[in-house]
Amino acid sequence: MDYAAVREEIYRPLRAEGVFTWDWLYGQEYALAVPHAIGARELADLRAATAALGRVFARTVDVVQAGPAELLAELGIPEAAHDAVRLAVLPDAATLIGRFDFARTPSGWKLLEFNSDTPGGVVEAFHVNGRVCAHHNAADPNAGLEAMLPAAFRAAADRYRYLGYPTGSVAFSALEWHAEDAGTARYLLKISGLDGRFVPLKDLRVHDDRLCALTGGDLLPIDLWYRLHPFGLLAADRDDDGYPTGAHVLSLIARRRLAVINPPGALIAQSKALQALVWALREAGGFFTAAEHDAVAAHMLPTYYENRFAGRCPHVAKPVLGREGGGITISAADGAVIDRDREPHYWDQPMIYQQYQDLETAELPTLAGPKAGRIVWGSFLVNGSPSAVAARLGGLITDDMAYFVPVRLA
Amino acid sequence: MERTDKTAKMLGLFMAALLTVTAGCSAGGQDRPGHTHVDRNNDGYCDEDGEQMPARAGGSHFYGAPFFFGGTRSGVAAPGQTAPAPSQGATITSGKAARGGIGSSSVGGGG
Repeated sequence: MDYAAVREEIYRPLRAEGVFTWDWLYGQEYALAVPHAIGARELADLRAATAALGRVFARTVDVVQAGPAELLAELGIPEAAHDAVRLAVLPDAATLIGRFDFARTPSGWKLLEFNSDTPGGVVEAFHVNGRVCAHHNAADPNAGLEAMLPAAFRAAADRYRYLGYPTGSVAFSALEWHAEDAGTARYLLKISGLDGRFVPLKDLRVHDDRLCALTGGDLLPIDLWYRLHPFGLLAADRDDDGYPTGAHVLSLIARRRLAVINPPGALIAQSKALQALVWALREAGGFFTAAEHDAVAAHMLPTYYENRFAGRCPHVAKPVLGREGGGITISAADGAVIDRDREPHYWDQPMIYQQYQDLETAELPTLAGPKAGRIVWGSFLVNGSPSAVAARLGGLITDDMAYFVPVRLA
Repeated sequence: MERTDKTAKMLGLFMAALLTVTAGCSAGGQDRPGHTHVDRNNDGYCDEDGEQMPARAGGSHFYGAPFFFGGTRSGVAAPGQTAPAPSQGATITSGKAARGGIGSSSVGGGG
């Protein structure tokens, strides 16, 4: 059976079920149909790295939350979000559902970034990957891990109740027209076990100092809000007349009038400047335990808030709150540009500088024939525990046009 | 050495924050790496492990909510309490008009 037929056998029923409907994006193939292999030992190492770095980020965020506004500003946190991000919600995790992106290298797994605020790829890793593996009669490295999601949502809701929040009215939100975002929010709503409703971002209102869902002409106050909408964007959201609705929502969060998932501190972990801070802490010694120091040394790349690599080695400049490869420049040691994002977003943000890490190369079957590219591995962290994995195939910069690559156990 | 200032500044700000946190921690915190005492209900004991919280330095809360840092924080209240509008409140009103515009950037949210 040729690739196209195999692909259709896998994705047609998924589309028909209405859960994963974006195997094509922007008129191009997005989801590949043949899984890429990971060894059992590699998977164990990846999960161990995910758990260890999860602890490193959680401990660092804990202290940052107690720091001055100047520290938050250095991390690129919008001022409108300063009060909100200080709220500690989860006792031992910086976020509820996050995804570390790693490079698989001869010297082990190396962290590229942490998508802790609004990670994508959830449906692909937790739901689709198993279907692809089953079609190929391959072992699914994510088997059974979907159950971690409802447990995590229950834990978050319980935690908010423990902290005194009402959680009776639940809404999950994303851009309605955005197949991937809306589909992910609807999937998480269904699997969360929470009694809630999907409310498109455009139907949210701030009224009477509450976040509300506009439904049938009525405004229904929301207690617990899952949003696939980054705090960085929310901070800038305004009504037609310029009213700072997003900043008002952030103030509701800060004043404990709205419980939110992921929790607000996730934005601190999302900042790539936090990687520079963690690396500086590693170089300074202390703070981290010996095991945490070892994890940082083994799995993180030298990262600074200024370019200390010029003239020494290839490096990458990344905007502190960029996403999907936006605003990234890869440069040679002599400063010559090797690759540069061509989209207009994030260039106005402060940049951090990270030692360049070669990505694994692979040639995978696609509808357009074999496609050579670079692999980035996503490893989910759910309420502090390592969880599902998946991969992307792209260029030197992994952007939002990169393929979703299912993974199987070798 | 301007080019090294930003990392050093960030590290300095972090270490200053760490000092205030550890100054408020009992020895138990040092025995349990990875744990930060939290007293959100302000009962004088860590909510997570029951360790007694130390006296708060300078009258400021370094744990829990209200969670003020150096007296500069505002707008965060304990459950059931009311709080003043946050610093950006100058432009945020409690008017009855329903305000929209969330997602107006129309940029996808997943990363």
